[in-house]
Amino acid sequence: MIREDWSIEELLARYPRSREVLIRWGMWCPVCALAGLETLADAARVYGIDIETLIRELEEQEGGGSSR
Amino acid sequence: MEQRRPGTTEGELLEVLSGYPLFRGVPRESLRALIHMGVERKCPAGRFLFLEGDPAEGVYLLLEGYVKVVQTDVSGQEVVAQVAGPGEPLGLIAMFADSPYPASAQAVSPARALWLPGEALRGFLLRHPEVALRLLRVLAERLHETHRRLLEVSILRVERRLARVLVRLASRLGQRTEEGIAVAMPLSREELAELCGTRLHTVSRLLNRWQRAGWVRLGRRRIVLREPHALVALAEELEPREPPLALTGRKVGEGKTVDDRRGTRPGRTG
Repeated sequence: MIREDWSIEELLARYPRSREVLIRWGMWCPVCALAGLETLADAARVYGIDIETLIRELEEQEGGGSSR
Repeated sequence: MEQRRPGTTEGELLEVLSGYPLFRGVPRESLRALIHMGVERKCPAGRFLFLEGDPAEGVYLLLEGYVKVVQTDVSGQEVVAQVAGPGEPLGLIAMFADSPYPASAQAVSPARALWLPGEALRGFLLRHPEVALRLLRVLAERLHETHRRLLEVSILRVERRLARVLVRLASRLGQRTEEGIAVAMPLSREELAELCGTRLHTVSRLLNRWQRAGWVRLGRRRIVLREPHALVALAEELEPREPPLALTGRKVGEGKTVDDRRGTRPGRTG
């Protein structure tokens, strides 16, 4: 289960395919120098994206569409 | 400078070194042997671990505190080449090039380091090539950073240079806090100015402007990046990416830019 308090680096390490979702959302996080210090929630706030929606998409990308 | 801090046991040093990525996977016995060959040194803020031109007989592994590596020109003007924090080695170039230290290392906060004789470290690296490869990576990253800074000083506006310096420092030395990313090192504005090749008053003007905009909070020799993304966007001149229609329902062109969402970007400085 993907958590909003994971750093972007942690998300990408655990779920490398998340990169595609972030880029589709127009986010630069995968190449950000601060990816190890910024959380998924920070990134969603900065880009004005609903965190619940984003996490749902990330989980769907991993194929399970796991419930949160 | 003091040597052999009595309060630090071999066991404590072993724990500290074991936690550094540089020594990941190295058997504890090998690390213990390396520690035996080293000398622990304390260095008060403002004092030097080594001076430019000193014969380089070893490498310092920083255990505590922060150290700036500076070069001084004939007129006495100081240029900060690098800032190092805990876990980072100092004096590698001189050791591998078998030459005197090309720069001086000055503590900017009370520092503690393990000095490792060159011969001992070379022997250790031959027995643990994975550590040698990691040191090569450290040197490659520093070379890359030097190239980037050359480019930045040549062509980038000073506000981008300063934003890049802050982002790089934060990525290496920053700590996440409730308020944002704290660059937890006692770096003065003069030192920041030296790091990005500009003057003190320009750095002060930009930092104050960014503070008014809520991007940073300035403390005494400490900076908190409250809106790190704004600084990254400035540093890298990020263009806002358009999410696809299927994801947002927005039409292309309707998406707000990062600057729109944050309000007006603080004015530019040439």
